[in-house]
Amino acid sequence: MAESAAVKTSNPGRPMELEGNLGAFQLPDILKFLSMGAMSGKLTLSGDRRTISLKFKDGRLVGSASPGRMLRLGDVLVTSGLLRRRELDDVLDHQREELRGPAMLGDMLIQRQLVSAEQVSQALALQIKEELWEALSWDSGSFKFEHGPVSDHTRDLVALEIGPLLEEGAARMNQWRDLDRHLNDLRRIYTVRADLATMPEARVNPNTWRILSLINGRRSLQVLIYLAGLGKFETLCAIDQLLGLQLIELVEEPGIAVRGKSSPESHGSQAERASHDPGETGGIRALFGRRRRGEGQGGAVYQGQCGPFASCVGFGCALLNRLNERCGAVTQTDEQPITTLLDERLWREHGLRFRRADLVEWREGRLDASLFEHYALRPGAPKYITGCLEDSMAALGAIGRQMIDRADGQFGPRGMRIIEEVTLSFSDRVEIGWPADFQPRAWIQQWSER
Amino acid sequence: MPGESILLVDDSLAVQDIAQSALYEAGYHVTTASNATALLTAPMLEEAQLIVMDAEMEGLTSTEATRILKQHQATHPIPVLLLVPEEAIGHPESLSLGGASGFLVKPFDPPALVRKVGQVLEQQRLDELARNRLAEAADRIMNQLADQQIQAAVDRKTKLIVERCIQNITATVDQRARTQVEEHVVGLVSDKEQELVKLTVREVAQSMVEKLAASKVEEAMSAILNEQTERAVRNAAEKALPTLIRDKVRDMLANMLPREVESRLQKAAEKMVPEISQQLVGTVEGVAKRVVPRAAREHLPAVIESQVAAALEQVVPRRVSDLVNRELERQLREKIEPTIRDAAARIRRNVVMVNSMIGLLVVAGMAVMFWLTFYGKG
Repeated sequence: MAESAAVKTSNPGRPMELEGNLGAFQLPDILKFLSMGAMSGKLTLSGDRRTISLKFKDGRLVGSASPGRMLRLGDVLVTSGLLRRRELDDVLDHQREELRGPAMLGDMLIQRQLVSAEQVSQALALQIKEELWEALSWDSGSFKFEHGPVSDHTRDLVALEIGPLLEEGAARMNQWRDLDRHLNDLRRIYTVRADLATMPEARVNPNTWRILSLINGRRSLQVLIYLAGLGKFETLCAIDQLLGLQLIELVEEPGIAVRGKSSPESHGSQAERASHDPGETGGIRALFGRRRRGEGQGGAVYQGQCGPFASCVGFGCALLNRLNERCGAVTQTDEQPITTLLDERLWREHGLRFRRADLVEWREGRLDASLFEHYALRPGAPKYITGCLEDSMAALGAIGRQMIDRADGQFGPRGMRIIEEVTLSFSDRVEIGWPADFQPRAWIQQWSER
Repeated sequence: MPGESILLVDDSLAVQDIAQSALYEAGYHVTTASNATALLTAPMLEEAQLIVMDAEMEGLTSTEATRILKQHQATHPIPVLLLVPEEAIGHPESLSLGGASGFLVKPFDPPALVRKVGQVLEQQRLDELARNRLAEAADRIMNQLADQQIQAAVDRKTKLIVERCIQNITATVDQRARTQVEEHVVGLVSDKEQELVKLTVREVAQSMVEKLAASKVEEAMSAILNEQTERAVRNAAEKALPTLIRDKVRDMLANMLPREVESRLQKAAEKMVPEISQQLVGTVEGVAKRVVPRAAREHLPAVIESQVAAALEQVVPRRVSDLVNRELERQLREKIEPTIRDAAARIRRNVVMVNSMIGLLVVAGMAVMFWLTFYGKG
């Protein structure tokens, strides 16, 4: 009965469950059924690569959730310029540490008057639609509906009727499938064409121009989706249109580095290069004199003590570089294939999602904060660089989290011990020039324990 | 100047954010893009007062983008400030800006960027002012030259137009004079013709009046003469001879008088009566010819002339002739009838005399007959 649906009511007292295969039951039919029955509950859809949960209340769609979703509410609001990164982090910390419950981020942001209910509602609707379009495009998968009340701690910020959504979805499906076929690899990177000789006659719509204005030859499609805040469908439509207008071109096929500044092959010599690195004296030099780019603080090598660092971003880069080097050294010692926790792709796909983190560069196999510090150490800069600092630290934290996951997966407890050792060494006796109130231990705990 | 729009192009969102924050604080409106193609397709490109552009970007270079901007009419005046990485600057004095208005070394100090932007915009304003002044001066000179040229052209044209107008007026006057002369000549001819017609009509009228008067007089006289003669003969016959005598006389005349006497008498009577009648008619005619035409000529011309004029004006000769006839009749009644009556009286007297003579002749005839009857046989 793999192709059928079943209603499970065997256990009295448990909510009714409806589950089956999407190959036998089309998702639109299931959605219509739930809508017509004015049902409340959670519909979980499992595809080949992802799982998406849709929340229903009285037959209307009130929320969605999916692990590793691209459009997180906080990110959408931050990338749209409606919310500051620090404000988001504060609310997330409060949500995690103090409430210790399923309080909804949107409600908290509204309560703190950081954003309006309408802004949250629009961001939520975008989230829901994006995930619904994706689920509608699946050819196979399974579904499971658990009948019951949805979380009552959230206000009805959004309640989407199924009928209009399905109509819109049907109109988009063909285009969506086409886009998914041509632009299915979100790691692809596009750049603008260099052979433009005259003023382009083509005029693009505002959404397309928004995407075009973000393309710089280093941001992948996935990052563009994050940064634009328009959703996957709109972003891919814009890319498709720009390709059609011959304004952009593909830079890099997945797995092929083209920029020449670094390459996966170069990672093998990281540990070797680290032994010849000028060391932490670079941080001191950054504090007292101008340096050329590439001599950044991020190149500091752990040699039993740490710092001083010109900025917390340089500190963060040095920490992550050190973690990477230590793991690389482990594999080298064990005569295993050299494995790295950190590479350019990781930085591109996770670090550059943070809008103002791109002053941290991937240079010669390492994270380099020298450009950031060049700006940060200008006399008039601190006032204007706070946002970049926040995003850079958030990006480094996200990369750190990814590295922990990788270390855990690759080395197991041994990897975790290395991480603990390195982070401990970076938590104490560290001199950081700016900002003066930066607390390394708190920052490390923030991402390592999350 | 606060409120001016700036397009900022840098491949780093962080650099965009730093610059945007500083410029926004200084009062500028900033739109950002990460590449030069986005700059060239930006919806607000032509409204921008300044473009701040990273000198080193992926894809289309800043040099190419500046060239395209400067080649395009709408974007040509927009100044471009380049953000040049410090590694790219060997000798700033030898740096080629490729059409840009200035440069700033990158990484930059945000307040320095604001100052540089202000300088470039100020320079742009001064350049614009100078261009405007130059344009105004050029406009003035061009206007003066144009005025002179226009004035000369207007003078030439005016002269031509005046000459042409004079020619036209002359031609028109000539034409009009010719027309008027022709009309005048035609009018004169017409007047003359009218005068001749009037004269002719007058003469015809006079002739008609005379003829009418003569015929009227003749008819009247003939009627009167016949009536009087008949009455006189009847009266004489009825009164002068008793019926018997009359019968006798008739018988005698029929029987007794010889045919010769009768024929002589008849002949004598026939000879005398026409002669007398002719004399009377001649007398009457003579009187009439003298009196009637004179009277007609004296009294009628004014009337005739007015009637004729009316007839000529209305071109209704019949009415005129009617009026003329009526007037002639009236004139005849008033002027000619007394004359006719006088003539008739004279004729009547002559007739009486003739009757008397006839009576005497009858008596004498009778006496002769008596004498012959009573004394002739014997």
